[in-house]
Amino acid sequence: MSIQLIGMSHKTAPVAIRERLALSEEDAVALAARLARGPQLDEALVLSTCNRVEFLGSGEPDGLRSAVLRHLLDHLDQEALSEDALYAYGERAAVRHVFRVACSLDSMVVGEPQILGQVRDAYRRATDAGTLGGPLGRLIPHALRVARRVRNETGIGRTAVSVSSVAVELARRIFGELDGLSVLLIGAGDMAEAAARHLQNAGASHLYVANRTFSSAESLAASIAGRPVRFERLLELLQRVDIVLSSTGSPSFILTRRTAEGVIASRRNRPIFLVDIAVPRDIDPEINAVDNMFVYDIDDLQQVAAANIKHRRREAERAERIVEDEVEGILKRMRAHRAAPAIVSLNQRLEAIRRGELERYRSKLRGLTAEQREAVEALTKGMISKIAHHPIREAKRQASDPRPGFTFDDFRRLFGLD
Amino acid sequence: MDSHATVLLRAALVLYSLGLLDSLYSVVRQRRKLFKPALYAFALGATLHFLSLALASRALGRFPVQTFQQLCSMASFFMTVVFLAVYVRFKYESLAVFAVPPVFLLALVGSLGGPARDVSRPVLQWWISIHATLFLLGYAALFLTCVAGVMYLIQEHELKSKRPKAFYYRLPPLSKLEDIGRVALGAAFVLVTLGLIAASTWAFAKWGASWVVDPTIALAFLTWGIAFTMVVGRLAAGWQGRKGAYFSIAGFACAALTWVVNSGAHTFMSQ
Repeated sequence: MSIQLIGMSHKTAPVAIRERLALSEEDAVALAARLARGPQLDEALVLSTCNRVEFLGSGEPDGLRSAVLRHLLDHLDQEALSEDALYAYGERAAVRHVFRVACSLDSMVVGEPQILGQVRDAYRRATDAGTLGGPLGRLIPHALRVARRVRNETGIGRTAVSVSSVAVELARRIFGELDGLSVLLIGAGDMAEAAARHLQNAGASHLYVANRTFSSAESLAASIAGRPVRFERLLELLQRVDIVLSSTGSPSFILTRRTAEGVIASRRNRPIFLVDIAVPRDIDPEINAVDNMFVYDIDDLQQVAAANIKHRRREAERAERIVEDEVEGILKRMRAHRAAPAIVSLNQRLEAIRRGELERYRSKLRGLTAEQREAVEALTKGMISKIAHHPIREAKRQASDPRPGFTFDDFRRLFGLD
Repeated sequence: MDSHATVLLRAALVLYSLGLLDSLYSVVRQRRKLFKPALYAFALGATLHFLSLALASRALGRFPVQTFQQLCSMASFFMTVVFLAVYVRFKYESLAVFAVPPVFLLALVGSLGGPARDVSRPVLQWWISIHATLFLLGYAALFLTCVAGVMYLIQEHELKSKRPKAFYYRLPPLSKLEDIGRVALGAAFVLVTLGLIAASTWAFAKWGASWVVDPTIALAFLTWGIAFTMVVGRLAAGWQGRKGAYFSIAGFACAALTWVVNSGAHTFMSQ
């Protein structure tokens, strides 16, 4: 029985091809059930997300290929099939791929957390549908554990890589927790709005919206649960809020260094984070030199995002090492698991012989005291355990480190286990 | 110092160094779970250190704060205690990387002293033990404000430079460093004030006004003055951020200078 995987992802196929294979949750479960019912496979799972469609199965060697072929031919044309859009992995490579996917090492944005939830959901649905129950059923929960280990032991998911989430990360580096902080949104821009929503989700509770046109401020405030304020009150608000997101269409700075120095003095040096997403810029970059004022424009945010991506890449290298470790560990355990049926049969067989012999001599042993009977029990049990010890050890060794010329069929024949 | 006390202090020193190595590794690799052994090493080290000080006190019949080495040992013990208290409150592992090396160095200097000897200074009585304890605890708290200040300046530089490097990912947020500095400064001010009140009240009773001209006393008052200025500056003038960090470092530097000059006892005591 071997684990196999066939799939396509954002790395091998454009969305125009991926979408032809994509499945809804229900269809993915139904297909997995159909595959697992087939003669070639014992288990199956289908993972379909916007970045990948993957079929996993365990059963006869190449069983997955023959089982999935019909489905692939139904949905992909010859061109898609011949363009290296698909990949197929067996055993070690399949295990490694599953771990890498769960750890978000194969994601478009390395370290993004959604994939872990998607794998978990696919596993839950497959378990509910009864399409797992063998080595694949043990592999997926293990992959989820590896993903958690990678999250805990590396910084792969700790840094932000999109501009709006970088703004939230920087706010956290300045203020710690964002609960209860107030945000002022000046002007109207999609990116500023997205950053404001990110800050709200992170805990910022008071959101003010200022715009030269008050009605625009009102409509934007309504859509993001903020409070509209008149543009003339800008200075007053700058003295109160903690974070400013500015994206107006002003051709010149709306906040100069001289004004900013007055603002920080009236704030009694309470820190303020100014995010300038406007082009041309709204906030004089010189303000960044003022103590307790932190100014980031769009290039700065992108620069931090780039540094974070580089940081993630370094962390990803560490994550890859963890994955390699875990692949080695689980393959060893899976191989050892192969010896389990033979070992159980051997123990049962020897126990049956022991009981049979005791039964045969029951009349002769009748005169024994309870103490003597216990001694006979212990003696016979000790004998079969000593007899079984060496073959069991060899079977386990053979399972984890197979040598040619030995098969579990030989083992079974040798001890008459069938 | 009693030989058992020396052995215990050296064992504590080994634990501090192991804890420091482990905390360095866990902070550099950003693996918080690995910090736990370091924390246990610091806590066990502090316990052994305390036992060492207790044995030395018993051997001497008074608080072991006479020689430079004894003061170093005592100061490093208090610094560890203050560090552990701050860690329990704020949970930032990177503090250890900045706070523990000086603790280790002071404990190392402390362990270089031989067995405890009674140096028979005429006036080293129980009150001086209280004075020294309060001052050393105050210095330990000031040390933490300095550590928080240094970390603040580094993290602020990372944020202002807009090019995040290694420290950016490993140091606490600025507001938390401000909190650590503020709490430690408050504690330092109270302790130094109490230590100064205890010492000056007793000294007036014993020597009248002659001790006031002692230059180290002037430095002690200067330390208190700086701590007072820092507290007032933070409360009244809103000193935060870079300015507050510079004052924290300057305050501790002055306190450390006073301490080094004062180590042993004041000149007027031998008069």
